[in-house]
Amino acid sequence: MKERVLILLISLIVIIAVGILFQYGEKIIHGDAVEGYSTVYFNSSNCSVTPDSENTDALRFTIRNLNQEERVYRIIFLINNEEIRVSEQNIGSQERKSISPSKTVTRELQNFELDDSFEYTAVVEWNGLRQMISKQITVRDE
Amino acid sequence: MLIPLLKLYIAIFVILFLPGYFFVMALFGKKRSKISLVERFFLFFGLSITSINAIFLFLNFLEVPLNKSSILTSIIIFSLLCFTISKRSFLFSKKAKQKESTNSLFSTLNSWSYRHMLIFVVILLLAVGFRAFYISQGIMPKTTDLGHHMYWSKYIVDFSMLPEYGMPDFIIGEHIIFSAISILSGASLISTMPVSVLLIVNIFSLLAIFVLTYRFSELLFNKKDAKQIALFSLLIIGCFYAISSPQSKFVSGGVIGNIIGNLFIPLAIYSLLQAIKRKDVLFAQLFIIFTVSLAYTHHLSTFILLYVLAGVALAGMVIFLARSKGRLSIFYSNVRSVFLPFFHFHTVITLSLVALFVFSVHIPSYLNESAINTAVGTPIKATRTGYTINHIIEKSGPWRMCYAGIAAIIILALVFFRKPVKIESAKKTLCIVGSSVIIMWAVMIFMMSWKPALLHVDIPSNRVVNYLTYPLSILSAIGAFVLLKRSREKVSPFLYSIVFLVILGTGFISAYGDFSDSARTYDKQQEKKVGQTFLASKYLNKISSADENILKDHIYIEGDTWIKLFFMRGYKYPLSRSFLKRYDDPIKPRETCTRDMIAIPDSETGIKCFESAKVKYVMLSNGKDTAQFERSANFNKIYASDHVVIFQRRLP
Repeated sequence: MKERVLILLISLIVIIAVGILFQYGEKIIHGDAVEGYSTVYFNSSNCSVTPDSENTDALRFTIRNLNQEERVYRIIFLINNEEIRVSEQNIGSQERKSISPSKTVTRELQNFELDDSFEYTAVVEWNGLRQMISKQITVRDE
Repeated sequence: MLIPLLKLYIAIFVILFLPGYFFVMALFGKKRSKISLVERFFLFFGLSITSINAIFLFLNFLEVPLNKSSILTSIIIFSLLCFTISKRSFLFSKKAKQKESTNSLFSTLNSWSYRHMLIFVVILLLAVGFRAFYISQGIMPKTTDLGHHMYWSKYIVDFSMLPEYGMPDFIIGEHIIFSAISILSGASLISTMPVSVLLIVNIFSLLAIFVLTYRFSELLFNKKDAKQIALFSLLIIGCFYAISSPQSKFVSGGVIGNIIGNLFIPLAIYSLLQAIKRKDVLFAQLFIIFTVSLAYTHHLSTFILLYVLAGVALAGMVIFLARSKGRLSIFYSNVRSVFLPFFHFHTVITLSLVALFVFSVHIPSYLNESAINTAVGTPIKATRTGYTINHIIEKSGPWRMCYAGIAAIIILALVFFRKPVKIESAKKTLCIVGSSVIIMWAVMIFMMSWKPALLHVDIPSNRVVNYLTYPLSILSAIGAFVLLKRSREKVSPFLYSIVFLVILGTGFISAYGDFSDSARTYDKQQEKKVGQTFLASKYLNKISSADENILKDHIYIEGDTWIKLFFMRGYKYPLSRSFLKRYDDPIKPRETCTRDMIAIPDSETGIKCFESAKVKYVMLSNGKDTAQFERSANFNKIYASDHVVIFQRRLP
């Protein structure tokens, strides 16, 4: 009888340790730790797309057109690789423009609950070339 | 998140406990009291790993795809087979049961008081707590060794077959259990699953030491003392020096072979001791099974166990020759009486079946001349010529070494100088053999670490010395206990309290100095970098094809050995720039292209290397050796994150 209790206790300790490590680890792997922008560049371009701020809540980014002519960039907003909104931005030669997520995007973000993780991506497209900026975000309490 | 966790629990149970449960049932029967439940429990675990390895090897031999259904079906068939065998043995066991009741002296741990149980649970909780806390501080899968191993485990998961390694660095037993759990639970190998499994293996190796200490101490002391010594050993192996190698650091670092090896070595020695002690054929068979399991799991551990066994055999020979005063007939009958189970027909049959399996189903990958030659020989490299005694003491824990030394003296005194009337001859023989097993376990590893040339060992000494902690924990538990017991009998309660505090206090100070030396601070930035390495790898996998080569930087990219798991295009894909010192080897010229392609990409050498290696993408840590690529007209930056940058080579 005592041995059975002992075995149960050993099993319980192992189960709890594995459970805590697994839950905690998954949160780290898929949550906070991955936060940070990643940018995919045009293969050859005089255009840069950079995050406006390292602040985790900031979803704004800047497009800088280094070309000698004005360009119309198509911007596709995605959340978890699902297209949310498409817009167009006219940026003059040697100009830069800060792009904020539209109301459609912010409304979509409100569907997430505390501790939910999602990938926010903006694809900037010109003449078939694409540049992408994305960020893993975890919803936190203010 | 609860469903994946539940699936993981079920998979761990099915892979790491179920087959062993039925295996033990087949060997010992369900209700037979030959061994205690605690012993059964850790045998379930060891035999489950053995069974799963054998099932995978056999399925692969039959060219059956290794998937969820084939694995589950095989486990069910194996369990049913074991169950049927257990029923048959139970039917004819009436005679055996009578015989076993006379063996009750050795049979059970069931007489433990609740106080003992409480102490056991508290020690185990602390041991697991220390380990879990340390592991959680670096939970992101990023360690180099684990990354290499998980590639092969993922190979089994992705291709439903066992890999042909093509190099003696890996062995199949290091990878099967992770693949099996991943296949059944669906848990990714790029997760906390591998480290959690290693933690479980480590916990069971602590239990193995606990039970082994109990069974060994029974030979020399009464049962009450044996219990306390076993608890001491659990405290020393579980809580003292809990962070340093080969404990939490090895679990966290994914040193799979050592962790599993440190489970199988105590299991093999436990079986050997029990076989000798009880003259039981089943334990002799278990000894063979565990030794062969070890041979499929880790080269170095197997090598060390073989050396230890050779040392035990040598010590046994000397002792028996001395006791028989040179008369060969007495020598032979003494040896035969002790090692009788190993000459039994059933043991010979088991050995033959195991040999048949090894030579027909799967030969361990390192059993070739070149691999053996790298481990046996006169050491030349400075890292293999042994440690000084001071260094060995420091590595294995000064407190542990001190009390292990005291214990060795006590045991030798007990065995050789105690009055013969107090121990009858058969038991004395057992004491001598049992003691020589434990002492030679420590002595052989000590010698392999101190003077490897004497034993013809050509292995890095820092890897060997880690194995010393297990036998030293058993011996130091005996040493500390005997000192405490003697002082309790001989001195006043006040003085005894002082002695108690001094012995345990110095233990805590020595052991927890290890905590401060090994403590690591939680570095969120580092975990973030690893996450970004994974995201960049995913992206690169999406845009590149198998015939386009990739070069990554091992020096600065965090978690870079895990990158290959995102591609699964070969163990050596992507190419890797190694630490610079590795390119300057005076003995063996190394390729330098992986270095030059990053250092001087636009030079004639660099361009030649890019062309011959067909490298299209270069993956670097942001700001580390990236300037030459930023400036170059031959490369475009195609991806950037805080930590990782990818450049694409412009093809002409």
